[in-house]
Amino acid sequence: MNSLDSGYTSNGFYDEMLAASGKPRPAYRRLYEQLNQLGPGELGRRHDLAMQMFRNHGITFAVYPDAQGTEKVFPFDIIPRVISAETWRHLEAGLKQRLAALNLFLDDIYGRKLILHQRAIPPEIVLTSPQYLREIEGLPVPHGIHCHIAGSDLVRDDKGEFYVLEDNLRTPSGVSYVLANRHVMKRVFPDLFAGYPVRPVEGYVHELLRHLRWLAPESVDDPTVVLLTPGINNAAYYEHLYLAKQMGIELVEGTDLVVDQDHVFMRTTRGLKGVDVIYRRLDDTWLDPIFGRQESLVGVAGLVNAYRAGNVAIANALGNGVADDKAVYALVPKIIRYYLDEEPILPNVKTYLCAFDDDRRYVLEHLEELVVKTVDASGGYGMLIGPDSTQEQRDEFRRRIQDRPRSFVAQPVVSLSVQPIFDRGRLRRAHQDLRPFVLTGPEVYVTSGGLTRVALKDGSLVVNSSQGGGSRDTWVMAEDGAERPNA
Amino acid sequence: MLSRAATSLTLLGRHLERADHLARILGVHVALSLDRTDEPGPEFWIRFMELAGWPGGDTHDRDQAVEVVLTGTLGPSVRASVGAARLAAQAVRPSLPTELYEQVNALHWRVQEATWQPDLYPFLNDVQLSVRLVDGLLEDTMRNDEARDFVRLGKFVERTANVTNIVTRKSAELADAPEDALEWSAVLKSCFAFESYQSRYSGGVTPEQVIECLLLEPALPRSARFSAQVALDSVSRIDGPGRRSKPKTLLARLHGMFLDTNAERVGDQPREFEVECRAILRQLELAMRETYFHPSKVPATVIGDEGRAMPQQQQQRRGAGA
Repeated sequence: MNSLDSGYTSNGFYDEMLAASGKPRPAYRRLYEQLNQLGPGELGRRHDLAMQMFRNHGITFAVYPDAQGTEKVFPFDIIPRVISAETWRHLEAGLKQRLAALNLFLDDIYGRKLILHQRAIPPEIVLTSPQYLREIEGLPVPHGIHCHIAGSDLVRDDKGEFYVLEDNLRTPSGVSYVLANRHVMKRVFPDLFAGYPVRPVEGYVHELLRHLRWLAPESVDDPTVVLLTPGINNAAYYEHLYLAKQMGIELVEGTDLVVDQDHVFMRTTRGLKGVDVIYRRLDDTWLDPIFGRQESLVGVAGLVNAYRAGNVAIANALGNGVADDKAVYALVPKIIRYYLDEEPILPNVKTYLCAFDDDRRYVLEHLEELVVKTVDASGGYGMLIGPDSTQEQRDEFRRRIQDRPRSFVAQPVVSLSVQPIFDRGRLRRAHQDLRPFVLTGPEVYVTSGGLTRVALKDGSLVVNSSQGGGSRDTWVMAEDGAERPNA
Repeated sequence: MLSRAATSLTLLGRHLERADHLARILGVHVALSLDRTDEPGPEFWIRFMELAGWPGGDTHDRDQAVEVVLTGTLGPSVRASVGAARLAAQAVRPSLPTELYEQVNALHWRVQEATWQPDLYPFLNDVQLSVRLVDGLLEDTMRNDEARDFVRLGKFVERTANVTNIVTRKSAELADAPEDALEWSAVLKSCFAFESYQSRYSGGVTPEQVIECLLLEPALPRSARFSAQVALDSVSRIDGPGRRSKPKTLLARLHGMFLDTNAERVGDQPREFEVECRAILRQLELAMRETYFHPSKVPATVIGDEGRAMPQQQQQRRGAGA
């Protein structure tokens, strides 16, 4: 009988599951056997069952370019990703180090600016960031922490080495899919879990609430925490309502809140009720029409003044965008060395800053080989993938880079690692990344694993859900070598 | 509770009740049209469409009526009502039991994708049973609190309006003649009350007894009086002791209409009764908005008022919650 991976090839990419056809890596051995035992017919049936569960559960997302707001089930692959305990310890330590340094960086640049005065990094890169908010300079934040919830994107190269591709320190999305993927996998493939000591992921919501409550103004004993969503049409709305429900807090929209005398209240059927902590899922510019974009209908007028007055805590703090600006990203290794006096545990991908003449020259000469990114874009938008681009697209980016060099960075194409996906009865190669989530507060908490995003389009390197990406469950082993072969 | 959440919970109850009602009256009228020896003319379907909330249309036959009432977008339809219920449920999902939301969501997808030819009855049956399942989940899993009362408020106000509408319209249209007994039975079936009627009343189906059963019966969950009472009870709990809100006053008046009349009087002047009832319901809608839902961008009205679209583009912005 043919195994599932007959005819499968990783085509030279680092394959996380299969060292070669028919030869699974040690951490995947048991899983590989089980998948083959189940066979394509049964796997297909369970895949359909999983998708039905996702849809009934409402785990869908909206696709922006479609004005009608097409709703799609978040694509899911049934083969989990397995990460060994040893690898995870390394990643966890690297993420904690990175977030510690980035929090110190944010506190510094909105405070004394020592790193800039000492020119440990080029000040102009920081101060010209569109995400740098002069309006909040000198504004203290609770416990000196700016980034309470972060999601850093990790990739593996052709040798299997992990790199940080980017940091998301404003409103990182995806943690609900981590929890939903596990929820569905446990129900559709309970037999697969039997052989593995998989670390649970459910603790995240409890930790998130604990971290949010910890931010409340000192005078408040029993804080009221709310999650502020842009609304039902936002692509991440499912995540907003999922987290609010799991934490038992109100899910509010801008129109549900009102600011009076620098205090925030929500409008209830019994009048106004005070709010102490806001977990916002809106970017800074939309948060308050007085502070940011005047046309904002999703924000709350006066919210930033209430924040300044210390009457409400906002997570994440305002102004974090400067630290996940893709140009500042390039400086993170230096930032880690500056604040922690340590070598970065997790390396960056080599990044060229188009703001620098030499880098820009190199980028313009090598557009066909590089990935060019807009510094403040996300979701896979505003990118040029050189090897896949047309001459017309390259000319357009060349013009944009020359017009606004500070707005662009470039990186070599990372040969993202691959892992088979189950696609219509057979295994097919697909690239993937990993977005672990880090909570910084009374303690630092890292989700076990995180969201593995998969580029489901054949040959694609883009893992974003808005551009054909999906996800899979991520299994972090509690200990290595503990797989029960006969379980 | 957030005012916006109260609005959406009320809409959830109302839209589900409407979907159930439309599925039921459609099934009953299609069956009624087949029970006749001659194919009913356009007049039959025009009257049916008015009953279903599509006045002045040009629907003249069964297939058109089925299509419009199941999928129409310019007025109340099963698909639109289930879609609106799901939208409301999405907006207040944290307030709802997971299973309840999932049932509404699954029903939405089934209704979106369903093909009902030639299987109209299984489809209509699925809609009605799904709504019953949601009702059961509501009663059996949801905490006895404000959220539940707002759903009940929406549901039973809608039911009061629907039952009153069908009974008074048919009273005006039909006579107390033997050939109309079939239609009066259809009225009972449209309100899911035929079997209750049979067990309660003797002497066959008569207009007066149907009116009494459907409008004035205090113990029948499908009667207008019962529904108004449940809505009043819900508002009383929402308001709490000692508060007499405008919605409560209006619901007490509405309930009083069913207490202070009798079947003969309604049968004599059905239109007048319906007009008075409708006027109170209109005032009630405004009063609920002012008392519980205001200020809110979510309208406390049914299909046709899609006021949520305004901030849609901003909600979709990639920068907002990427």
